[in-house]
Amino acid sequence: MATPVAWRNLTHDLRRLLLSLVGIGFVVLLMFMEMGFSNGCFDTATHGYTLFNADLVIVNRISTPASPQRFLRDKLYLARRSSVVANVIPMYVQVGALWKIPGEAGLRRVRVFGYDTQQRTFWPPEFAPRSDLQQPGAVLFDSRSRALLGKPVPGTVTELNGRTISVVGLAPMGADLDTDGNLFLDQSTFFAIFGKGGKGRLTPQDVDYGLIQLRAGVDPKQAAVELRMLLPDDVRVLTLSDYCNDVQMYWSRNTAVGFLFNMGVVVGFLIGMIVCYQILFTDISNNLLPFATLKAMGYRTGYLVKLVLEQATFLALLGFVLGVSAAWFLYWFMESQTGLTMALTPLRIATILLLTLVMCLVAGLMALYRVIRIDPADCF
Amino acid sequence: MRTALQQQSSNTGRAEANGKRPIVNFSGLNHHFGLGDARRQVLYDVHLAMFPGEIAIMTGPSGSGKTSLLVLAGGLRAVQDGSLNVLGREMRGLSALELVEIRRSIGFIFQFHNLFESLTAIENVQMALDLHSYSAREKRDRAAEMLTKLGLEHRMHYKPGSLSGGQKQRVAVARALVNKPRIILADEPTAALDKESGRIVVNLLQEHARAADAAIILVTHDNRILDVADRIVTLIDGRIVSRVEVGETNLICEFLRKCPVFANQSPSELTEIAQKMAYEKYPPREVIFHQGDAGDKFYLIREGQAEVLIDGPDGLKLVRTLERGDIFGEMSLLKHQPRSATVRAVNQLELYVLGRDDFRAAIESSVSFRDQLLRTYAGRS
Repeated sequence: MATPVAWRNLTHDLRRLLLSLVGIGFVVLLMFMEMGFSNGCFDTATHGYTLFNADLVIVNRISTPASPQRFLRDKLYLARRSSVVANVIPMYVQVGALWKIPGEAGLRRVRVFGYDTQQRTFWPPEFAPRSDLQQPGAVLFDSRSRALLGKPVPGTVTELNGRTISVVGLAPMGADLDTDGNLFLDQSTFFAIFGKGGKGRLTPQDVDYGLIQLRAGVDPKQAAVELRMLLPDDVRVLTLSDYCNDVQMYWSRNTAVGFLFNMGVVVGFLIGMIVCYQILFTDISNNLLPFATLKAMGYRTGYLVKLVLEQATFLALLGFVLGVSAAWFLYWFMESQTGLTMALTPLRIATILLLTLVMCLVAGLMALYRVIRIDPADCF
Repeated sequence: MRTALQQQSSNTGRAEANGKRPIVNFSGLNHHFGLGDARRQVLYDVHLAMFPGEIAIMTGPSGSGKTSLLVLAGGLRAVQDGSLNVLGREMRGLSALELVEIRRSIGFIFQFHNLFESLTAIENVQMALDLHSYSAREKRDRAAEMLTKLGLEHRMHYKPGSLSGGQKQRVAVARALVNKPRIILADEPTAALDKESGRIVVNLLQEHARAADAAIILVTHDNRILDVADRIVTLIDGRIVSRVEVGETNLICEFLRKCPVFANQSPSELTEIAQKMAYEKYPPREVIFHQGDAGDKFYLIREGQAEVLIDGPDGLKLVRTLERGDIFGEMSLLKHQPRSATVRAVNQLELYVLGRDDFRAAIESSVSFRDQLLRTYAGRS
């Protein structure tokens, strides 16, 4: 086994190592946060849809997440003709409905989902069909709503768009950027408030989403192709995950959010590269004579290159461990404070790890010119 | 220049007599630094042969080319002009990678220890062993053995930060010696050390030169360590201006001092004369000079016997036999007369020879010496 010079040089001065790791760890944290914000925004934008208990989603072709358009329920029902379709559920959505905070005078905006509550429309167990939702004014309250909506419990009575409602249960969904929380209503209650019966103009004929549940064992992609043939061109048939990607893509293309946060990651990456370069450069400078002596003794330049890159890798890995620990804590903290989804998925961890490694290795390559230029004759 | 050439021939002659081949051999080497207008010559026509077991101390003012000589011998720079043979390989025209390979069989010691502060003493020494395919255990044992030899057995696991200057340099020496290289190139190895540590280091080098039959070139200004040298080479402005075979010179001085003629010379005067003497070898029965020849040289017998013959009416008559340490040939030089006798080798005869001009210069420089000589001759029948 060769003498572990890279490791020893790195750990020789623990105080300096700690400072170096704090520097790199901070950059790793910065990249995690930027990426977390960015993903948080996009994740949050589709978080509600991922709870749909559906294989396919049907929407109006000209509908966008920023300006949703409804389409005729009859078009949706055409899907029933397909042999692969098990069930078709119309979904009605009203954003910006006014919720009276229980026990207070204030009003907040909420998003309201209306659907046939006899059916299993969302997959979390709390959304299981229940008969009490059929009663007029009965609602399920989103248990992951922001705290500013108040803390209703089953039995709480309050108002929605000026109509009396009563909370009969809690079910989890979560807030997003422009929604503080959600309510889930049976479509009868929904139209009683937002339809012609109330002061609204919504009708059961105009649906926001059509949810398709397929028969067991049917491939959603194949089924989507089949339904596209069956349904008119002014609606789109997508698998649920395609739809979520579509929405995220829309936000990242049409808003500066993605770009800004990606810039944040890039800036973090550059800062990290400079920090890492400084650390490596200082270490090489401190060891110029020993390095030159190695060359004189008969070590090839390649060995020194390996040393520097090894050291860069160690820095990256140690700094990453520090950074990811801090990020894990901060993600948890921010999620608990904002209700935004801050998920530390394996793919994202791997992405930042890769970025960190590339960052340190590029810095290592930049510092290499210094060891390559070391002339052993200078020892004399 | 003339004396230098003589010395050169004597030097190689002696070594060949020992039956050894040079392990480092500069011949007709020129070297330049810089390019274009900045190009300047740093070494001029250097001839120097180092033999196994030999320690050469190289001195000279800074910028005289000593370091360039080390740099070339160590394969740290390509040879430009002339020839340099190291360990039997011609260095001229070798690729950078081939030079790296050769460097692995050379031990380098620098003015500063150049140890990794992050590695312990034994790990620093192991760095030299990492270049060769030893097992981990072998490496540890060899490094430990070498450090123990240098009196550092209780400091093996210390980092340089907790070692004294002398100890650090000893670790550096251990690193240079641990592969048992046949060539050691050392640049001011004692410059940063006190007298005692310096002594330990040079003694180690001396011991290594003998044990491993290694050639050691030592660049130094440190007069305290001159005694370990077998040879002292002085460079000035890129040229070798003097080379002293220390052993030979000491031998000559011993001989000269015992001669009544030179008894009053100071050691430095004797050394100066000794350095100017060349080495010559004669087979048995060969005549060194004939009676009546013009006197051109002064002789000192290093080894063997010679007979002095005078051509008289009854033919050649043996006057006396000369032995190791005896001198002859000085009279005709002093008196500007032809040789008064013939001198012939009895057996294999080794002589130290001083040219007429150098002999006269030596005498001229010291009036007392001349008087002394004349007085001596007055008393000689």
